[in-house]
Amino acid sequence: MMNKYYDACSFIGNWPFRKIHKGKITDLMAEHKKNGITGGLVGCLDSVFFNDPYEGDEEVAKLIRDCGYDFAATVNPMLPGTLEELDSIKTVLGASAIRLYPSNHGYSCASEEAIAVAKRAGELGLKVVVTVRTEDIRIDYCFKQSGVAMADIVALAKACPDTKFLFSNIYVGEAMGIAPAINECNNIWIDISRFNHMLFVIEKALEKIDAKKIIFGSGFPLLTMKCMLLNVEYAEVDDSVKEMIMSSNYEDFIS
Amino acid sequence: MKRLPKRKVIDVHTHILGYDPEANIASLVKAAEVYNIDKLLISPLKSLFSDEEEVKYLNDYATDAVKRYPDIFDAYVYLNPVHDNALELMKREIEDKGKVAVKLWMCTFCDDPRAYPIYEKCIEYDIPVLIHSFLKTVGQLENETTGVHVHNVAQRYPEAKIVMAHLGANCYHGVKAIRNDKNVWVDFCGSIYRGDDLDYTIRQVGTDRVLFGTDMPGSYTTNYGQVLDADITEAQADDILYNNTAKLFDRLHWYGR
Repeated sequence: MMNKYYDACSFIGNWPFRKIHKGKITDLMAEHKKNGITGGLVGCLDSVFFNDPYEGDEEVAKLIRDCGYDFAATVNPMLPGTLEELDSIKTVLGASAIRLYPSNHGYSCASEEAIAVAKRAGELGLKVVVTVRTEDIRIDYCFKQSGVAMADIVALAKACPDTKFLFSNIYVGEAMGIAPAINECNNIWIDISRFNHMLFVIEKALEKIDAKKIIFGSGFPLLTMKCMLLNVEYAEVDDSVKEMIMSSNYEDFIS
Repeated sequence: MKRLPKRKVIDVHTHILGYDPEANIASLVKAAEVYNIDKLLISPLKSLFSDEEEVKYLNDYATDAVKRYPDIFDAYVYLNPVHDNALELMKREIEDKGKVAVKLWMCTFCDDPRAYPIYEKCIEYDIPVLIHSFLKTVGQLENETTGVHVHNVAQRYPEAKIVMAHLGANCYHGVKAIRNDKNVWVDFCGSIYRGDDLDYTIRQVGTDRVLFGTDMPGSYTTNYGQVLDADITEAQADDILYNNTAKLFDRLHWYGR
């Protein structure tokens, strides 16, 4: 039987600051197929900047699910009605997770609103993805991301022990800085989509972070697919660890 | 140890950093093995504004690294244009120490008149100059060159062979600034690896002016992966990974690696 490999961080859609040339679902599927990825969690880029993200997600949720992916709905906890809308996000959109963009939407993950949304998501069986950044802040254009405090995302996960969290687009240095929390809390995972700053980064991350907590993510199409795949493929670690990063850890997170 | 499949590769932009040079050298040597790299061009860096003593120390360190690993490394001479002895040092490093090109970092903007004699000497030697170029929304450093500064140098010295590093950080700014300057090549090294950056750059300047670099001891796979994912032919990928640099840097030393 063919192994199932997952990408926990990919998107479709348009981005307001530059033209995305591979933003269609067919582009994503082709890229995944070429690289042996069989599924994963997909979000909608357009929704991030919609005043009502639900409208953007409505257009693409079914398409994403029909293509065999898990759907991550965009949620801004600061918008009125969000808490109540989680039910529809689960039942109507069929989402498996909600994706938060605190650096784009400008709020603290330790805020009452974020905690309330994450708790309710957990009750509904929705996973919570915290997008630490959507772009390298050094090249933000027109709009500056506010940044996300590591202490806040850890506080959020600790305040909602029954909700599963994926810290996405986190830098390896940031992840290593909160490694004790990642290792101790059984509701926290991280993806490697922004593990781009050092040589032999998987090996170094594994010195501090439990292998069970690391999930492959590409960041495609905002980022390129091969960069992090090569990091896993050529890491000097046991094949069983690579299998966990590419496959079983995602299944544990999304189940 | 699993290795990347053999493919001819020159990495035009790597460093040994003066704070822990031996660890850097060890990482680069290991990377050359794991990733099957034919040649790494190293430049030594430490302070943003190096004094004369530090510049000499760094260049000596690079010379020694090349001596120890001649089949892996070639080196730039790193210069601070402000120093009175910059040209004298350049002459020694190029003529006696086998340095293959010049590296300018953040001691001055690259279009500072104090750097002009260095470009004139590069033209005389017919060697390239690699210029750090990085436009940031936050944290722009003092004297940090952008694509616009590189363009100014290219216009003043059309015979100079200039490599603008990092695509100027934000390629939509940096590459646009130099796209009509035929004497400017670009490398896309570093930690910014947006999905469309390399394809965008190629649409602006073609593949002939694009050189592969990584900024190691930062990541290698980040930038190598960009080449594999680009919408280009295998022949164009070979040009970026190897041929363009081999042609531009004609003083590289080869020992059959």
